[in-house]
Amino acid sequence: MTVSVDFLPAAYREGQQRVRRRRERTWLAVLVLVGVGATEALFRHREFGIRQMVENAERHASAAEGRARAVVADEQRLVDLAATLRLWTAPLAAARVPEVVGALLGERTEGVRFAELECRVDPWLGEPKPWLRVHATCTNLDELSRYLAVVQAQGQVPRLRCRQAQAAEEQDGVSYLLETEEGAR
Amino acid sequence: MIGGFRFGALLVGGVLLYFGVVARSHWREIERLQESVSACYARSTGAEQKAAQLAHVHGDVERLEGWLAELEELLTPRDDTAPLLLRTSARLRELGLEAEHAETLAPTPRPPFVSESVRLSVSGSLVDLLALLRSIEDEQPPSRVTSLRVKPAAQPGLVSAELAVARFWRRGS
Repeated sequence: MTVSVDFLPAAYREGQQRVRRRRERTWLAVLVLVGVGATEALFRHREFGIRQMVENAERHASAAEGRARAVVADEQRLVDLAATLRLWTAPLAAARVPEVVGALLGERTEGVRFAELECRVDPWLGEPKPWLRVHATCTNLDELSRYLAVVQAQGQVPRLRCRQAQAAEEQDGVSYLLETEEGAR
Repeated sequence: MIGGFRFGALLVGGVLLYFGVVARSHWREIERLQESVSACYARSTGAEQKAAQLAHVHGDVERLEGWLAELEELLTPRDDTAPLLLRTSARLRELGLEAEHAETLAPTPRPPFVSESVRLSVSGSLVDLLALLRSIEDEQPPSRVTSLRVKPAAQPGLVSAELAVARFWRRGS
């Protein structure tokens, strides 16, 4: 018959258990602290990486915005230059009297005879069309209509209206007065 | 010495406190930074689209500046430019037209231009008159016939004309 006798005092065993528990808890606490520390390090690393990305993106955006501002400045310069160009060329864009008179005379048909021709242009008024008054005679009104149709088909001559038409005094035919139509200038 | 349950609760509490306060602030900061990156990319994209026109717009500016320089030269009188009345009278004689009357008109302000005007009464052939009108308008600085009245002259085959001519150039040139 075997009898096991515990010679160690209970206090000793309790002390041993306390030491073991303390060691386990210490390890557990260290593990938790390491885990938390690693998590913190990961967070900080991630934050650092994204901060770098933000700085790069900010630099890139600033550079692009600088170029965009240069485009806006150029566009404004373009508007100013175009306005100056329009201002300087406005008198040059007005109708040219030699061309208008040339068009009127060049398309003249056999029976059309001019008694007086008046043409005025004001290059500074911003009205590209000239003002015209034509005194002429022709053999009949059909001829006048044909002449007007041909003349006005050209861009240089504004729309004309017949203000007066009457029998010519000196010869057979019709004497007429043509003038620039209101609103045709 | 604290008990096993309390020790576990302390650890779990500590971990929860960390994740609830510190880690959460990290998450928020990371989210904020990611939003900043997105905002920067959005700004870049918009700005890049505008900046892509830089070469094109700059080319247009240079072209317009070139045209203005050319125009400025055309709108500038040369040092040897004769007064309009003398110049036109000389041209009349060259073309065989007869000047019945010629006068310089009072200057009219035409901002941004300075102008000089003359009125003439001439007689001669219609062909010569048209040649005169064309030659006047080919002058530099630019000249324009602003008024013309033509009627047959007493002599057959000839016309008499009254015309006004204006010459203008850029103020300050």
